[in-house]
Amino acid sequence: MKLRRSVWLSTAALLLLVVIAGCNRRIPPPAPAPAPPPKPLTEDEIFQRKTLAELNAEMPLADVFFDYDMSTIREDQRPVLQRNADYLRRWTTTRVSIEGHADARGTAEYNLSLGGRRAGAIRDYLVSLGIAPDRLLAVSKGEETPLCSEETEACFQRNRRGHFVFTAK
Amino acid sequence: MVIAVAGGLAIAVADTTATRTLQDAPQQPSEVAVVISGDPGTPPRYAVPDFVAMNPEAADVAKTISQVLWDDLAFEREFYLIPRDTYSTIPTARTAGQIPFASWRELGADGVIFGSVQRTGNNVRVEIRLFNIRTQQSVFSKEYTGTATNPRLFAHIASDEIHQQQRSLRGVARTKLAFSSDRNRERVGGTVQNRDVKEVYVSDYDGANSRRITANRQLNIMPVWSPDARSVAYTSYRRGYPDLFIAMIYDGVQQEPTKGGTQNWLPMFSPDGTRIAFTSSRDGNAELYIMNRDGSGIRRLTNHPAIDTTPTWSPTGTQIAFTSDRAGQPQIYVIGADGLNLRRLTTAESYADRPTWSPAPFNEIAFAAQTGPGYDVKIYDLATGVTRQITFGEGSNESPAYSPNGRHLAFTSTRTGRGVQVYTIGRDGRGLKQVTREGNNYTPSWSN
Repeated sequence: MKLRRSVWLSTAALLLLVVIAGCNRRIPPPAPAPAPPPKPLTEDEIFQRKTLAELNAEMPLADVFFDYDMSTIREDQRPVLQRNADYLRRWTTTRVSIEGHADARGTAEYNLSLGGRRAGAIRDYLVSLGIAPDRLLAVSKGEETPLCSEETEACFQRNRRGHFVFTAK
Repeated sequence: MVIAVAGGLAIAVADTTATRTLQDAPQQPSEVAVVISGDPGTPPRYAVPDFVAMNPEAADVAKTISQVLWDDLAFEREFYLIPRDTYSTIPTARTAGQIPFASWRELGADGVIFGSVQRTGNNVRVEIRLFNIRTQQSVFSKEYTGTATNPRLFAHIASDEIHQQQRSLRGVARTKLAFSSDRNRERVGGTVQNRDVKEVYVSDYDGANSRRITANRQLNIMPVWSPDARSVAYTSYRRGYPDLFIAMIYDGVQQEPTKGGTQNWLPMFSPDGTRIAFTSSRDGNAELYIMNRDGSGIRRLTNHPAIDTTPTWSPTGTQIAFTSDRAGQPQIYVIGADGLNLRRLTTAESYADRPTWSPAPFNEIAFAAQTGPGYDVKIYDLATGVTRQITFGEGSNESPAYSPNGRHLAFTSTRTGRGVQVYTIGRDGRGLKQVTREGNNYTPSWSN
């Protein structure tokens, strides 16, 4: 079934090419000056052209997750922070706000401090991996900006997170 | 930006209780008791029929004032208010002289309110009298003049005055609530995730006349009133991190006492309004600090690697209760405002936060305690060390805040299943009232 569809698609694509080629033959183009193919942008140039909002929308730094009422960096989250640190080392002009979030099971008041402790733990870990502390601002968001609101462990886990927002690049 | 709230409506009051001779009411004996009592062991029973509109333009105002006055007089539970839908058989009195005392007596009333409203343009003159059914005497008689902009205020003033005269009680009908809400949920554009916006609102104690006082489309949370009820301090993320702001709501002026790059949250005014206790991470982790209202004289109150947060002042301003997880889980502690004499209060709770010290004469601390999947409001009596429970597992009940007379608590609950809403309840756990209904509403503070 799959094979037959791909054969059909190839046939359709070929037919389309023939038609386009046919069109081109009927209207001969003016003698083209052979333009040099555009030089592909370097990684740095691509990065420079992005706005801060575009960079944030791509979310190159992954969220880090925590256990209930805990702010220690979990074993399974260390590779995530390692990759985030690699990115920050590659793009040395970036500055990030590290948001510490809590799930809604604690009180809103206490969670403002718990989120701060999580953000601080992430900052300390990144500093231990060689990132300059003045590029990192740890900010608690408490339970004020949840990603979901269901009363399930899956949702609680999504909300117990450290999230990264670029503030400069 | 602070949105200035229109100043308290100017209402002139004239006490006509003693001076006015009622032409159409029996002459008042000079030594009659002013206080209306009920049957022995029961609260006095009051009736508040619709006020008389002296001209057709006054009809709406008259209806509003009488309905709000019924609610206000019922709120303190010092009087039993006879339900208004049982008045239909009672003949309507156009003047005080027509009050059908016998009919009201048959309905079991001990006191009846007679009110009249005259409206000229936007000006109203409201006359409110309280009659003792048994003696047929007017024991309270006031004339109020003001604008028709906020008719509820006439009822609030009269209710507070009647509570003062009849029960020597400071009513709360003119007090206000501050809270944060996402009711006008506005999304901040251009960011990675949908960021919730919360703004600070103030409303009357019953939830009416709610007005937004912040407009920066960020998180503006955990507002608290200054003791003079003219300012609201709150935590805002307008600079990208939590910091303290004070909105002088009647002047449209904003103050930033901690401005300067440190992170600060959960401000709480001292009872005399001169100092602010708050939580800050300026020295590494969440600790308590005290400063003067203008931000000067900051000093650190706690020093522990655990979280210390959510301060509340004792009525004398000499002690501060707060939350700390230094023993593992969040628990309530008390420390002197001088940083000495730390002691732990809660020992039987798995998780306790948001202590709120009652005003005098009560000597207790309300807090939110984990009782299952959610929280309930409990009250710790400082004299006996006994804790009593106010809410019982209907939804999650958090963030208690005392009324200025100490008889009520505002708190938030998820009990309706329709978001987080603000409620008020008596300190005895009775008299629950829902205050907010729109969006989610958090962390109420009750003004003086």
